Amino acid sequence: MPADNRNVFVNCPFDDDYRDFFYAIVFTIFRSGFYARCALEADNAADNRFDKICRIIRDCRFAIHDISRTETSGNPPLPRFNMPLELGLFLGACKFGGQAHRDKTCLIFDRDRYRYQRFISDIAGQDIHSHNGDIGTLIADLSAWLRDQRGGRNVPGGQAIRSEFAAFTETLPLILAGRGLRSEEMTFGDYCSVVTQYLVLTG
Amino acid sequence: MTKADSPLKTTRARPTSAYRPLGTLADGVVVLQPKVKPTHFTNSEIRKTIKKILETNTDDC
Repeated sequence: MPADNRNVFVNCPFDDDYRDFFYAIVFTIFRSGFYARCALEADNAADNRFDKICRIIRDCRFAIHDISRTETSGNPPLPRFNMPLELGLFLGACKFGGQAHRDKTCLIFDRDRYRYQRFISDIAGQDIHSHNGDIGTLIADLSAWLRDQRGGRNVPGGQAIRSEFAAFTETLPLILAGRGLRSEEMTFGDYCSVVTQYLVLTG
Repeated sequence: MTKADSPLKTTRARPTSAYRPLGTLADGVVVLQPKVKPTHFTNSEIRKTIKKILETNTDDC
């Protein structure tokens, strides 16, 4: 895998309850000089979702996995297991993908630091970060981790990125209103474009 | 050697970076151009919209 690979695979829920966290992750990735990739990036019904995820994982040297929403729901209560599955795919690529994938690295988030031991204890030994459901903690840990990966001394600290994200989220509804777009209509491509153009215009 | 006899020139494709920088921030961080295209507007349209909103916000202060 090329040393200048800056792709970060984002493995997290995409539902409304998690949307602010997802937006914060994507914002922090682009703000730190990296490139966010996720399963939402191409909406092609002819494309098998699993194949698409495998392709993205293959392209990414870095990944962030948030397994905090692995919890039971519905009747009978069963857990959604997409995030742990994709985490396993990424770890499998590191182990069995050969030389090209050996240097893949990832950051794993959960709500509480040791909760994962109850449902995915085989990853014990990985450094699991806990965001406690707090976006500021998520941004601080993610930006510190990204800074470490590339020795990006000029990337600002988590507190600064958190303030920038807060300012951005205040402006985002105005930007969308200016385009006659509702927030739920915004695609991943739209969001990435808004984030990057905003960063360049304000930075 | 006539022109017709000369060996064919092979042109090697210039390696291109997978990333296109969109801009460099004041602190030196290079923001990369997303590969995935926006669905509901062009980059140029969203840039104009953001500029307008930022200018309005500045005027209000």
